[in-house]
Amino acid sequence: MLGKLALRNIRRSVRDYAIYFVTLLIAITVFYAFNSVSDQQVMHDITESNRANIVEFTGYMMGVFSTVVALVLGFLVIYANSLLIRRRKREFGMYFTLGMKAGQVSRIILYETVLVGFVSLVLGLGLGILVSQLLSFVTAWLFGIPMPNYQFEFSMNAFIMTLICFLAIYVVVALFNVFSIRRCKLIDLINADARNQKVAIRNPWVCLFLFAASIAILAVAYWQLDVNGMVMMFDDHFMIATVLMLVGTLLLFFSLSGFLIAIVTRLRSFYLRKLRPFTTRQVASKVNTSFASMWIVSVLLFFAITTFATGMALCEAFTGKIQEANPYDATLISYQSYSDTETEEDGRAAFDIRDTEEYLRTHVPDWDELVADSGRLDYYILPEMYFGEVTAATGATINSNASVEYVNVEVVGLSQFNKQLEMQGKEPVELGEDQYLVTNSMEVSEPVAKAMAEQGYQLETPAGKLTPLPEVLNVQLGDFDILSNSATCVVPDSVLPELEALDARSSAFLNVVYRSDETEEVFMDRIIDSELAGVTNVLTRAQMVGQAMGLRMVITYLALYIGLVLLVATAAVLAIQLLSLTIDSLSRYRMLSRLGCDMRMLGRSLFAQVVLYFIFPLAVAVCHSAWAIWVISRSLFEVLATDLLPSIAMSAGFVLLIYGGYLLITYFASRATVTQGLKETA
Amino acid sequence: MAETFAIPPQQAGVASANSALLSVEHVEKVFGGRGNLTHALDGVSLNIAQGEFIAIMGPSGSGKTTLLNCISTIDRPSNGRILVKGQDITKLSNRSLAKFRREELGFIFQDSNLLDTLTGFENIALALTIKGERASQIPERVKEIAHKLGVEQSMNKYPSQMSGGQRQRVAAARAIVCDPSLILADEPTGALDSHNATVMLETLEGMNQNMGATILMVTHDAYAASFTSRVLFLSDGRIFNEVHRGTLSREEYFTRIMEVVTFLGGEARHAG
Repeated sequence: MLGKLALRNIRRSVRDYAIYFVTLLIAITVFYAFNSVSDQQVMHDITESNRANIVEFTGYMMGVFSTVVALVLGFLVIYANSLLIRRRKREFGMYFTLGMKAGQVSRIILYETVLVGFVSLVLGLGLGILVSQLLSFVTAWLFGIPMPNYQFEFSMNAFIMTLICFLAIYVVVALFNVFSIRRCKLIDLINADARNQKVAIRNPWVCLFLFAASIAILAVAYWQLDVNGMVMMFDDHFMIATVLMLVGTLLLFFSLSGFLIAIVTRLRSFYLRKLRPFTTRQVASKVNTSFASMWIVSVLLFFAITTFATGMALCEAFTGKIQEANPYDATLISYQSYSDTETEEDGRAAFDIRDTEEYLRTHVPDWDELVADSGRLDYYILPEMYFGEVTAATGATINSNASVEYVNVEVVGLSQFNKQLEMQGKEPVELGEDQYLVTNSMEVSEPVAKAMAEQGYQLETPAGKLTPLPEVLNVQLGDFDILSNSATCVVPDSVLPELEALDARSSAFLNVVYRSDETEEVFMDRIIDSELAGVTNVLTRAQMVGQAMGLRMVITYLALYIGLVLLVATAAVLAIQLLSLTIDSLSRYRMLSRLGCDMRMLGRSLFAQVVLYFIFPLAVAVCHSAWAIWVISRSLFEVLATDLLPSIAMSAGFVLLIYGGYLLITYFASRATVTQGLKETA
Repeated sequence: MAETFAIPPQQAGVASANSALLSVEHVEKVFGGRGNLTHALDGVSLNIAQGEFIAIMGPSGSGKTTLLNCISTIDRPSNGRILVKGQDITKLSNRSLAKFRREELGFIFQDSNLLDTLTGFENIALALTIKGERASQIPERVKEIAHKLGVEQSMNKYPSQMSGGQRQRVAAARAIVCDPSLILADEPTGALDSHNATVMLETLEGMNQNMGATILMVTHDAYAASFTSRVLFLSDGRIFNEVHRGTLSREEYFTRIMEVVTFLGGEARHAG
């Protein structure tokens, strides 16, 4: 019997339930779809051959963010639900007056919650699975990877996670509903409509003071954030900035409408025109009563915009130069220490890293068919030369958090170096016997490299002092995931025997160019088959590019996920609040209609209300974000030489799209509600 | 008894249709659908002249509110015409109706219906801003009306901070501030205690006598009706009787109204 009643209730109040239901549906769909991303087949193809820690890290990040997202969605669902309950208090009052027990009424609502929850879970998961199919195509398309064998994607992990998460949310919702019914007094339920219209009035002078205080607090927060620079998180300045930002924003929204009313009502010639007094008061009273949720919306928006913009820019910084960072098809790296010890344990002859090339030529029968060209590069350290001395002597700084003070300057020989240039299709360089050349490709070490070349820094070698050529040569000397040449110096070949005598070899690179693009797999097999000892690392361009794209995609998806969820959630909260404001104010609109306002005037007022209400939290969030992005761009992105504009434009586009969409939907829904409400009286 | 009061409806009204400010002609309002018709108004005709203060009385379900809704253009009659200053308002479009309401009508309701988010000042001013009056003149006009109706103390208060009587007088100020042709008052004293009701009625009387307002008041309270110059009695959707105050004192006028009310009550009981 109660079940039937519950079912009929849902059918009857479809319009009220629609907001709640749609919110649930979007939440479940998005949650499943994005959680399934890390299980996509394409994702595995991309990240297969990569270092495990990146995959681990992204898995961890997804987990962390999904927890945040789950909390946000949980609040959103509970919020939408509480609105629904509030709007139906009279109905519950009716049940009580008909003699139902609180337990029975609770059970009706419980049935409704379970029913709506079940349907939304089934539909939401179905939709989520559909969307996740699309996402894997998007992944493939984004990174130009062919999807030769499409297969149906289903992520058990995401499925179970979504199920657990939303069941937990439903349990909270059910408990909330039961408690809010039990706690209610009958008289309140019956008079619920009248109680909705209570107006929060604040003393304008208190508001003025608090508003000024909030601006001051925010100014201090901005200053502290600037001091921190947003690179080192969780130091004192960052903590202070965070806390002050939260407090300042809360105070701002608490005092905002009081402050605005105090100002606007004094601008009589602006204020006393058409429905402006009504519109202003309407928005002000809503901001007053829901300042806390405005605060949360604003903070979440700030978080969304900042993460999205900086995340995309970071992604560009770390993966944008991947082609330049990989001039060869493959790089085999040997470190001296390994080649000395490990080979003997294996029972093979002691191995000199300089023999790698010879060894491969003899042990890989089709070497010449696979490899078009190869060139070795031996690195030596200058025993007494540290970067600490270089920076001290030249006054240049290295923009790095890691200390480079006791890092040795590394050199390579001229003829090997010229071979590398030839392989890259570049002109060879010439050096006098007492000259050296500074090469560099890393952003961080560029000031030092420049200083050495331009100030004629004398390089101390066992064979005597060398003078630099006046220009830095920008060149990458092996495949890597970023531009990694940090001020390597090229010295005349005559210096090398001296270094050899000091046993100053540090590592050897063997750079390889394939004959054809399909060589990679065979080449790797041959390297393994050859049982080559001493090579500690084989980096290939295909791997590096694949890995960068994997990273790029993970960051892109994380940014999209967080950005989308937070934008949708905040816009939904604002939309729900405005719709409930309109529904609660129907009697006011009826009054205005009687006083002679036509629908056009009312529509204009509604539009202004929606725009104002959406703009307040957005403007505050944009202000905070702009400052945060400015700070981080000066402290980080200038160093990374990344242009932030594209990612800022992209986040602005997303905000406009989602907020604009919700704004219009809210306006049309409110308008329809008012039109309907006016008809009902006539 | 009956013949004393049974005046044919056609003769109701002192003003002729030509000179009347408001003239309602054979208005019918039918509710319901096939097989279940209710005649809320069954051919009502009446005329109101400029400067009159008229009460419409009748028991519950007599059609008072329906008649008021039709005159206030919130509802449209099924048949008949309603002329205000010679213009048939039943033929107007929705947009023109809104314009008509804000230019020609003022409203006072039982529960005041002030906007609870606006101060007293703003509530009164809103009637002027909606009409498109110049912002610079509005504060002056609001102040003047507030002074005349004695609600200056309520100007900076929100409705929730005012007493019921203050709220009704602010509503009266809002109704008259635009100088409407006709003020419609629906049970304006219905929610007030006797003291505040008297103050409110004296306010309305003053608006009528000193400010030249034409007021049509719907009420079921004979005491309230005794402040007017004429009372029309509505029963089962028809004008049943009317009483003029003429030169009667308020007590005599009240007694005559009560006689009709009593008669109507008896009629209702017989019918029941």
